[in-house]
Amino acid sequence: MLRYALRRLIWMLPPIFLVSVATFFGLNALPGDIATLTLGENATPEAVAQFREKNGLDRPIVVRYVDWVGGIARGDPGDSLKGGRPMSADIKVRLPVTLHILFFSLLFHALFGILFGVIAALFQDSLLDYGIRTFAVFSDSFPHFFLLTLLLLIPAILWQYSPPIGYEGPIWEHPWRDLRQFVPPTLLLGLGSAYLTRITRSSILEVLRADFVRTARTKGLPEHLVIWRHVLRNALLPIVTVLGGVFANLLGGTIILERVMTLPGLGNYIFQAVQDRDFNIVQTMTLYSALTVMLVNLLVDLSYARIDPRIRYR
Amino acid sequence: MSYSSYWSSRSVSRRRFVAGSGTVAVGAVALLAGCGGDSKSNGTGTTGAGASPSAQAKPPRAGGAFRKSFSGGDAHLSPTHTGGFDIYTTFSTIYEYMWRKPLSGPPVLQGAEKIEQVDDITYLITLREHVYQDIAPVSGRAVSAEDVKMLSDYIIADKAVFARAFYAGQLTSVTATDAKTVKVITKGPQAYFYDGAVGFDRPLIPKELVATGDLRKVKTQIGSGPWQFSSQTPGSFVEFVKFPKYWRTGQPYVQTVRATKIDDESAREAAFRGRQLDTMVPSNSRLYSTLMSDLGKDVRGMESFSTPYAFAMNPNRKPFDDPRVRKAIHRALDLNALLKIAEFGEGKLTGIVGPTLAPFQIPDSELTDYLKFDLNEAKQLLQQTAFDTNKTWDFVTRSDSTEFQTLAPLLKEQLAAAGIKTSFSDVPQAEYQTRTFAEPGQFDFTIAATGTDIGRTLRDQHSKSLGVREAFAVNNAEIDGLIEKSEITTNEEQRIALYKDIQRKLMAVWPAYFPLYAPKVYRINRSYIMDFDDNPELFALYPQQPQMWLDT
Repeated sequence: MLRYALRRLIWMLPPIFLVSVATFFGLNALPGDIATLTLGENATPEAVAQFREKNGLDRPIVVRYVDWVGGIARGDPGDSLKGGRPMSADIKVRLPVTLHILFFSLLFHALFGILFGVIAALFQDSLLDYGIRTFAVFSDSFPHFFLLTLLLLIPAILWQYSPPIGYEGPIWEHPWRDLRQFVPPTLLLGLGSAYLTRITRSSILEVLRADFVRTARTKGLPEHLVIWRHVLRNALLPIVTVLGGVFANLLGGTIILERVMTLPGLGNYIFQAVQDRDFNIVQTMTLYSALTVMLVNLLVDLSYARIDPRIRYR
Repeated sequence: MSYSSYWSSRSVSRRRFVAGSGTVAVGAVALLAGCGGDSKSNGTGTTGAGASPSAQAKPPRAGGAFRKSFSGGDAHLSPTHTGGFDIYTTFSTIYEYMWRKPLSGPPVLQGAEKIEQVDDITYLITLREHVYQDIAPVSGRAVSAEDVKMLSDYIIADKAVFARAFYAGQLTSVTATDAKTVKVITKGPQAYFYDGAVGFDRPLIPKELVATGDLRKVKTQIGSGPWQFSSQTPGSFVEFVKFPKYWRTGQPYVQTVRATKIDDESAREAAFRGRQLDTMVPSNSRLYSTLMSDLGKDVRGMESFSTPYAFAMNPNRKPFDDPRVRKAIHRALDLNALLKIAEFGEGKLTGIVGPTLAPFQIPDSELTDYLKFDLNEAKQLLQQTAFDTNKTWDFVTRSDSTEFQTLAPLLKEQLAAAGIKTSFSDVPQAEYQTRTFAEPGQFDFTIAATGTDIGRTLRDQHSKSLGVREAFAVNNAEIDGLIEKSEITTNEEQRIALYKDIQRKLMAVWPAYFPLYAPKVYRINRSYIMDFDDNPELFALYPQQPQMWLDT
């Protein structure tokens, strides 16, 4: 398995290279000058020129690309253009917020998606099955920003309640505050895990019809053991695969959640950087994001052997 | 649907839409709200009672936390560069200045005890005793003349600092003659000395901070203001605590000031309603009215005007060099309709100088003819001047500005009604500046911001407007001369008379660059906030004044 993992890691290099090239050169081709955006409307041409020189924006684009990639490879992504703060320090502060969101989001997605899928499969074609499927599709159909805005405004208007604003620290330092801050939005979005529900349902239904399930029932195994030991475990492969995809979606979705719920995570960091045309941040975060998605996919692939012992990596 | 009717039909705002749809989700939200705690978990821990006259008469009470929000940048901690915290809403707590200059009248002294004008160009400033810089590494050292000199040298050396234009262009020298005396020599008589030498981005900061070489790289802020820097979480909040050695004994009354970054207005509204913010600036009149009506006696509202947006035609291109054509365009624009559609009617039509600079405005009675909308007269004037109604004129707009995107279609429609065809060039900010700032300008029509001070506002109408908006002036030698004269007239009374004269002369030749209207801006405070200045002019001077206290 180690050799397989190493080979997969090496095969990540070409797509990462392509992402870096597309991001860097694509961003630099966009209209909008960071110098004028940073220095403001009334900046003199002299000030703009000095800013460009100070930040190396006057150097050839290829040289800048090589410098940037070299920095990333050394683990030093450099400084933001606006403000000149070290990006590594910014990421260190903001990463825990995004990890909190990803943790709770993935937890609720998995919880509701799998739970609803299992129930729908076990009560196939019943009112419960139709109800779950309709609810999942219904809740998934609403744009996230709309749901999150509702979540903020309705309790505020009706009960003068709003969740805590600003991030004060990790959950083990501020458990109650963080729970109030992170659980409601991630729970709300977790309810809309229609795709995972459908995949779980169909996967379970397929396994339920397998011979070994009939055998297990015939030998008198209690139904909960049949489901837990035999059905769920055998239905898990497509579910885990979909969870990998869900993670990538959630990573993108943190931007909206952080924006609306005023959480200072990496999503907000990228959003602000895009608005400021801070190319250093945008290109670095895009590359890190692509790398994260690839690593998660690798982990998903590696987990197959754990879930199904018949799978061997070559 | 025409643009006008589109904007008229915009009455269902996002907030109302969301609130209206709320009933659908109430059940789900009620379930989720169970995850929440009580609503009193704020710094002050109170509910806001109405501001009764007896409450106003109470003596100030020390303590409590004042909580506000900010949006936009927090990329660095420099007070002198753009892109950092908004100095009006965050660092106004830490910093104080040698003085602050109200729109009219003498400067209000803060760190300075005395200003002596020796002659037309020399000023001797004596710093107040017992004014201290707050935290480490300075840790309570008295403010010195050397601090002022070092910052001045830094501003002149750093081309990225906006204030450099005044320092490098108008000052001959800034020297520390002794520990407490600063001598400033200007290059000539300076009407705007008190505004230019000290501004929001030029506070009293210690030389040790300046000596680090780049203020954008500093890790903390040090100042002599009522509160001192306590902590910052980038992208989230910054907190200030009372500075014990603040020079106004016993002040500030409020112990802690906390500013939280909230970019989304719905989140800001929710936080304000949920008592997690003590003050809020609603972006439009509808939200302001809703909050005022929903929260009743718990809040107090403040209304003032904002800097206007302006319309500009290019007088360097024919036929806009002809005052009759400019008059026709003035007549063709129905500014009241613009105000009604774009701002729900909340604002004020204005002459060349807007209501934020009220002491310098000419009386409204003199604006009646200037602001008149008369489409027939516009058409007649265009006919008289043989205006080419078949040509499509280039209307340059900014693709990244909400204001531009709102106003430009409305203006296009109004110009079209007079027979003036336009085509948009929707460009990003950098290209917009290239095309509109430098003479002769690559545009026929455009929209532009206006100056926030009287000096800039009038300079923008000068044929040499010093690097910004050069292409907008009507190139009238008499007006240029009057503007130049106003800039060296140090007697305020005479200067204000000149300002009014300039406005009348400009109106007579129909300016190529003129404000459309001044929109209203709003603030809502919880009513337990006491002695927070409601006067917009003073508000700009003392944004978080040390006299403020919380009646909680």
